[in-house]
Amino acid sequence: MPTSYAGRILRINLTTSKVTREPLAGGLIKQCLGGKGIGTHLLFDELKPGIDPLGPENKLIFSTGPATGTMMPHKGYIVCYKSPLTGIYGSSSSGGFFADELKRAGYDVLVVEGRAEKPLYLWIDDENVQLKNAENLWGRDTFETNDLIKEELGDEGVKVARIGIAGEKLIAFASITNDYSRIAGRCGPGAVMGSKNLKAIAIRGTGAIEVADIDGLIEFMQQFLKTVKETPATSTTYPLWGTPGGINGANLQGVFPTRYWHKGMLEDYEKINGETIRRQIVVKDKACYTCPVNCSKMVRVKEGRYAGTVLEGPDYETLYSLGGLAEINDINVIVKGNEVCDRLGMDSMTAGNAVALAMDCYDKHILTRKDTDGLELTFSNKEALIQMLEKIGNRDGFGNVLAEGTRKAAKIIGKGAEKLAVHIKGLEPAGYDPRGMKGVALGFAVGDRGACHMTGSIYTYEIRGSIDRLVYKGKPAFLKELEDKFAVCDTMIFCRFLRDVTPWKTIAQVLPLLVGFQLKEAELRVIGERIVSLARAFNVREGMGRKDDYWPDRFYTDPLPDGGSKGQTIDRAEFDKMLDEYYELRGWDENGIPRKESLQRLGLGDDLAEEE
Amino acid sequence: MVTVKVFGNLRKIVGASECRIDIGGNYNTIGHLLFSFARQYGKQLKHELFDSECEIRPTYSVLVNGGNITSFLGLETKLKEDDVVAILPVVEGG
Repeated sequence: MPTSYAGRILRINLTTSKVTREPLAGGLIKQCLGGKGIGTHLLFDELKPGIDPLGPENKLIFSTGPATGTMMPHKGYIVCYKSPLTGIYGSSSSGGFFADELKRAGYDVLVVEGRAEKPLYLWIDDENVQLKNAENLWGRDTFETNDLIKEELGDEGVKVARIGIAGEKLIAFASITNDYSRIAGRCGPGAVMGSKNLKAIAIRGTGAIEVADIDGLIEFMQQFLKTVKETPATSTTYPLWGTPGGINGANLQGVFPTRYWHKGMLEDYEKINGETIRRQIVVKDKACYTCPVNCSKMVRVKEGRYAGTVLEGPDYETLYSLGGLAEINDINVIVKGNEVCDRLGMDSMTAGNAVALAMDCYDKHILTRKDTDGLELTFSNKEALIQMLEKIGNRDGFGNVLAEGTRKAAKIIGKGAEKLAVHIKGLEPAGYDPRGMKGVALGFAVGDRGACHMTGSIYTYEIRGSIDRLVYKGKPAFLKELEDKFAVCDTMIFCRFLRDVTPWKTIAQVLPLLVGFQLKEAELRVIGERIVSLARAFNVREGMGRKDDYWPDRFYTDPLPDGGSKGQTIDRAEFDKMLDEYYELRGWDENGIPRKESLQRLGLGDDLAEEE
Repeated sequence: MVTVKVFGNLRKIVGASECRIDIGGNYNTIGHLLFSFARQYGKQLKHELFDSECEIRPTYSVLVNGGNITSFLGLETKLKEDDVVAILPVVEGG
């Protein structure tokens, strides 16, 4: 029977140069479906606890899903690894066309392991898989690398995932870029790739991707696309403004992190909102493979010092990290800062947090000009922001300190910097202040990657007003439901921005049309729970527990000073109650450790349960 | 008087980013304010903001002093002097 699975895992060992092709086991598919499920499962099984994230024992597991390569709109892939930024479970997803090419070449999953002796790039030309010399590419940025590989292979259609200079220099939050500028950004996958001396992965896939029921899928798609066009987020907000459409609401509600998490509203935020970006700098809308939404925006700076800068972006999260946190409301400067991050290949969210931490330290005289290579690192200093980002990506001077991410940088700086630093388990949060969003307070705290907004994405529902953002009660159950559903969406692999049009029923409806087997909603829910608990088990194995599920102290003590959430803090007793309830719903003990019987109920087996 | 801030298409219809509206007498709920607003700016605004059942379209959020009216009493939410009302396209983020 036809299926959208290619049915194979491609495994590359860079130490031995050995290439193997393994069947994608049916049992693994039924347990985890694809994407995040399969990636997390393989990561748990194949990595020993305590390994060095930048050592040859770490792996990069690129995993596609049942929707990849089909007409069902999807993002591309999820890559799983042990994070060099956090030391725990790491995963990051990216859109574009790269993953579709991987599947057309005949592979659902690509596992990269070991370490090459010298810089290489991987060339997957359907069945022909080669490791090619990349010494001429070492030192090149992400855009140059893309162009040079396409030129060398003589094929403009080749899809290339690559690292920039930040990845080569093992910046803890280096990213992987594919297509023009789609980015697997969080938790440092680019540093893992750099540690393996792997500059890029180039793919040409010419095979067909089948589906189980093409007539049924076409009929399904007609209704699905109608729903997309009738749904506000996918018909209006994202197509018009992309993610920057959220800037107004976050500021008006006083939860837009500003001045390194000391305020909740940026002065003149309308200078960087979706409307301003559309009016002043957007030149083209862009979409990923088969997506009707066109959320991505190509922009060009038209005036000022950075005129001519071209970028795919900036997204909401970069507007928060380079704009709000640094108190910069000049869209042209934010675009330039984003371009620096993308060119060097590093996560703009962590980079912005690291620079803003340093600005906060400078403001409080913890750092002086002597420490910052002569830069006056004050809030709102536009030029200092850009220069410091360049320094981070090149590990130049003080940039070498910030290149380790907020947690380690604060430790190196000392003198009280650690009390200012904002992270959970080493990952800097996305751009929503938890004091004004109680579900975010819980969701980011228990996120599998650290302060992660993607695991549950509860911020969407609080900021929209679907649920009362200032209420604690009911949030644990609401979060669990979201986490389970989005874990399944991340196996399929559906884009988070299609969340309103992919309820459980829709997932259950489209799955058999793609893969040829049916799963009931209840069975899908178990898969979601399984993935969440498996990622948790990975982190528990690395020493994580309840003690790590907390925000920095100042979020419990320092109220937001103004705006729509004025006076709000996280109430510690209420927060603890939410944690207790959440753990209980998940079947984890009071320390956040999955109970043996819970793991067994999820089919995770005695061997895993024994590792408690 | 309350301040009403508008965003998206509403800004084109109103011709300004914000305006001040008198909420005197008994007409002191967000519902009264929005219907008065619709009367003031004509059919185009009414059609943009309300559906045929006179409910706010799902494409819009309404905030009072930063709080979504869905967390208060919806259109029955009471207003007081110097409140800031914001009407904006449904919020998403990234």
